[in-house]
Order: sequence, then structure tokens, then C-alpha cells
Amino acid sequence: MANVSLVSVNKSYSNGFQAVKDFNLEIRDGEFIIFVGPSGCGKSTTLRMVAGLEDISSGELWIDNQLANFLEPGERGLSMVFQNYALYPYMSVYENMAFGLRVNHLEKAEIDKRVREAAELLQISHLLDRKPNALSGGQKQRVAIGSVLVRKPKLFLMDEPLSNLDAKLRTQMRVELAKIHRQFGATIIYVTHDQVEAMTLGDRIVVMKEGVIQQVASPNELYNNPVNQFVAGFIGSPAMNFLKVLVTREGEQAILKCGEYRLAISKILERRLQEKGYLGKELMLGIRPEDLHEDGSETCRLQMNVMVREGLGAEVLLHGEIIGEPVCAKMPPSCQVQNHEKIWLYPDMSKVKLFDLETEENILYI
Amino acid sequence: MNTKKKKGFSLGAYCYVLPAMLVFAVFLFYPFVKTIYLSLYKTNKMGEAKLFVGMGNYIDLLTSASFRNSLIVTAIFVVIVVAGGMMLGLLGAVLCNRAFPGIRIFSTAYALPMAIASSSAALIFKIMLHPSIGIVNKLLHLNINWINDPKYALVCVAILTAWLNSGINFLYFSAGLSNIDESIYERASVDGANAVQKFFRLTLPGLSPIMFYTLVVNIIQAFQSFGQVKILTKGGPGESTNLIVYSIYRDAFFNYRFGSAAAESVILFLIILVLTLLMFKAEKKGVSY
Repeated sequence: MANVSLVSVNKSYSNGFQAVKDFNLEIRDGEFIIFVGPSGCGKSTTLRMVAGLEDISSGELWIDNQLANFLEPGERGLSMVFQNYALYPYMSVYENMAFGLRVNHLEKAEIDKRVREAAELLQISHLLDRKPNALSGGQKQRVAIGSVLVRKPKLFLMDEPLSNLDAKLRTQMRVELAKIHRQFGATIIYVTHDQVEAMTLGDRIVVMKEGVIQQVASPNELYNNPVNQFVAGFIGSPAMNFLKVLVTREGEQAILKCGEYRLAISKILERRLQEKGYLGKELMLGIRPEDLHEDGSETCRLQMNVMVREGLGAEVLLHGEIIGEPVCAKMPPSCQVQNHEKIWLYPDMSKVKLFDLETEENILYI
Repeated sequence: MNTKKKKGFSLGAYCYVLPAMLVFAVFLFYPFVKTIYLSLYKTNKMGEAKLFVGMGNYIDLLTSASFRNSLIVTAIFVVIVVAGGMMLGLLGAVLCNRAFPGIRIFSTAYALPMAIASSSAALIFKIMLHPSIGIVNKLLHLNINWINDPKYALVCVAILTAWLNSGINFLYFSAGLSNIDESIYERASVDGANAVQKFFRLTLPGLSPIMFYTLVVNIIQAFQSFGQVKILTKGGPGESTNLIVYSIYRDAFFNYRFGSAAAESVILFLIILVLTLLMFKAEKKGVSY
């Protein structure tokens, strides 16, 4: 098992493009850490720098208190699962799994033992003689993970390993990955653009945008206390709704004015906004679909024009618009609203987030 | 109804291949049949079959020391040309299989022999290998009569042919290499494999289908090499570079023994046919698709 430190790591290319900017992160021994972000945010580049497949332009990479910048990939004591699995097409499953051990000159009996153990764990013992092109996506995935397990590395790197699988298989493999992590206790760095994977697997999540870390936190913390509008919008499915509001006062009551609608706010929130000088200013209100309800106080409600109703069985998703902005609300299955109807929605004001319009920072970030 | 329709359809299909078959018939099938026919006869100086001798021409050839020499010389020549040409092509392709400044210049240089006619290359080599003014002797500080020494002549012609063939081999191998997924090399790096292990465990198996094709084409081409021998050595010194194709040419157009030349052609055809069949048989074991 390994701890990994990235200190002021930068990656820039000869054309001047900077893929990763001032990346600082401490990864603890045995931690399952997720790099998440949209395409092109630098998460895979960072992982490849840890693997040694990309040079680090500046900064330091420490693996188990050893400076690893100049170590060859094979000398870093890590193993990697690639997005396309990178199975050797001319070798059987057995040879694929044994390759990493053979090139490191392990004894034949030891190789055989490890391969068969891993195959049994991943339930691919019956596939050992097959070639990769005779395997399904899920089986290839297992072989790729098996090839990593047999090497008993101190650090596992995974680059979007589930993205080529169908939804059902992805859920199944997600559970198995979590089990493997518990069983082996290995340090895992896992790259994904799927925030469901990130939320379910990670001990901590690193949210990246345009090469810069936005927030490093546990899944719950990211969900409940996002540092800025980008993180708030990226984490959560369906994504958080954003509506522009004006902080103002009607008599004694401070409200958030959202077009023609008024949202009464608590005294505590009012005081915090006043302290930060936001009274009379516009802000971005963030509210998650699950925090919009069918009933509540008339002093705090918004009317949505429902455009599409998606019945998912356990819940109903209403897609529509409020003051011209797209909004999604998650309702219980009993909700009877149909397409092209209007519905009053009552936001849970204790859960809303408020973001500065210019800096996009979460004003309520603790 | 159905049968009629099927018949009409197949007739139409034959019409489509007819033009090509006509060209083949004139330039391939007729000469081929005529060669077999001539090989069974003694001919006059005009190449007309005059006296049926059956297998006589073949028996004469197989008992002739000169023809046996031609077979041995050709075998050595083919081995050097195929091994040299493929290794040169592979080396160039592996070296050019990465992005670096000036890669196109290198690629063009390695592929260039493909665009040079064998006779022009032979003329250039003749000057380079000249004992007194040639650059090879000057650079190596040697005084060897490369073309006229029986020890070196065959090797010189073979190396020239290998270099000429390396251009097209370079293209084949480059195409093959670009088909190998880059990520398996990355995985191998992470697995701890060194460059040699990657080459033998990943690159060579990945290239095996294209390598098989290149091997077949190279062997056939090597057996048919003619221009460079004609310009450089004319089969000599002695008979040290008297390859089968050159021997056929000499028999037919110098000695006017068309029957014997035809028999040599048939034997050459049989050798290439058997070798090709053997290679296709071996393909199933050694080639990973």
C-alpha cells in the first residue's frame, strides 16, 4: 500500500496548452480517491503523470516518500487499468494476466498460483484459455482488473474503467470494485467523468475543471457543501437547478426575488447575506431537484411550466422552466402532474445554495 | 423461374469478369500453357517447337551442374534478399513509428528505394562498388573488386536487391505498426516490460499477419530478380550470380534453347508454388490475427 503526494504539479505541452495547473494533493495509504470532471479537465493527464506515461512539466510526485518524477513506469510499483482495457490481443487471458509477472521474472509456480487465485476471485477461471476478442465487455473488464490484481501493486490506477460497459454491468462492476478495494485495502486513484461512480466509490473526490482542482472532499461534503457553482452543478444527478435571484426586503421580511416569485429566507440567512454585503444584489440560487417539493408555505414558492414528465417508477422527474430557465424537480411517484401543466414548487430553503454571480463561489460555503 | 433467374444472373456476373479474363488469357494463361508446351520440345532458333522430347529437357536440366549451381545461387540470393529486405524495412518502420520533428523526411528516405528502378539502382551501385573510384572502397579503406570477385558478387547483388525491396517493406510494416493499439505499449510499460520485451511480445505478434504477407511477396519477388543481375554482373563472374531467371534469359535469348528455358521456367514456377503453399500451411500456426 502506498501514500502519494503531488506537489505543485503542472503539465504543459509544447504548443503552450497547460493541461494541469498547480496540482497539490496528498493521497493517504489505502484511500480510494476519485478524479472527476468534464472531458479535457486534466484528470486523465494527472493519472498518466502518476503512472509515468506522461512527463511532469514541473512539480514533484512522491510515491511512498520516494521522489518518483524520474522513475520509469515499471519502477513505480503501480498497476493500471485502461479505459479500453489494453488487453494484449495475441495472448490468452491467462497470458494476459501473467504478462506483468513474467516480464518481472517471477517463478512459474508463483505466477500460476496468483493468476488462478485472481481468476477465481473475478469468476473468470473458465475463460483463461480464450483470446480477448472472444470476450464480452464485462469479461474483458474483469481480465484487465485481474491483470492488475496479480501484480499485487501498492497503488492501483484506473482510467475510466467502466465507461465502455452498459449501464447494468457498470452498476455490477462498481459494486465489485468497492468489494475489491475493501478486500485488498489498496490505494486506488480512479478517473471518471461519471459522478455516480465518483459518489459511490470514492473515499474522497477531486473535482477538476480546466486543469485546476476545484474541491477535494468526501462525497457527502461535495454534495452538501460545494465550494462553487461548478462543483454544485457537476455533483448530483439530475444536476442542481440555477436561478438568478435578487436579495431584497419586503417590509420586515428579507426575500429572494426570482422574477415574479418571492422566496422568504430565514433570519440567519438574512444576517449572513447582510454581513457579506449582498442585500440589494443579485445572486445565483442553486437548488437540487430533490429539494423542490409539492407542498409548503405560500411565502416561498415557484411555479414551473412542466414540459416533460419522466416516470421512473420509484420517482417522477419533471422537466420544465421557471422564469425561462430550465429546471428539473424530483417528485414522489404519486405526483400526477402531466406535460404542459403548471405546478407550484416549494423549495426547501435550508438546503439551497447561493453563489456569487461574478466569482461563482458558494456564499454559504463552510 | 428461379433457376432461370439464377442462370441469367451468373451469366451477367461472368460478363463483368470477361475483360479481365481476356487480358489474363492473352498475357498470362496463353504464355503459361505455351511455356509448358515448349518445355516438352526441342526448338529451332525462332522458338518453334520442332522435336517432342517429353521430359528430356527436364532431365537434362536436373543433371546439369550449371542448373544445379543456379538453384543453389538462387537459394542463397533469396535468403539474403528476403531476410535483409524485411529486416531493413522493419527497422525503418519501428524507428519511424513515433512522432518527432523531421519524421516525414526519414519516412520518405526509408520508402524511397520503392521508387527507384532496379536497373538505375544497379548502375548507381556499380559506380559505388567500383574498385578504384567507388565510395565503398574509399570509406572502408579496402581494395576489393566487389562485382568481379566470385566471393562478393552474389552478396553485393543480394544486398542491392534487399535495399530495393526494403522501401515497400517499410510501407507494409509502417501500416502494420499503426494498427497496433498504442495503449498496450503503455500497459506493458506500467507492467515493467523493457523495449526488447515489448518488441518481441507485442510488436512482432502484432505484425505477424502483415509480416506473413510481406514474406510471401518478398520470396516471389526475390526469385524473379533480373534487372540488377543483368546490369551489374551478367550472371558472372563465372556463374556465381547466375540466378534462375537470368539463366532462363541466357538460355532463351543467347543460346536460343527455348525448350530448355521453358523447362527452367516451369521448374521455377513449381518451386515458388510449393514454397507459397508451404507458407500458407505454416501461416495457421505462426500468425495471430
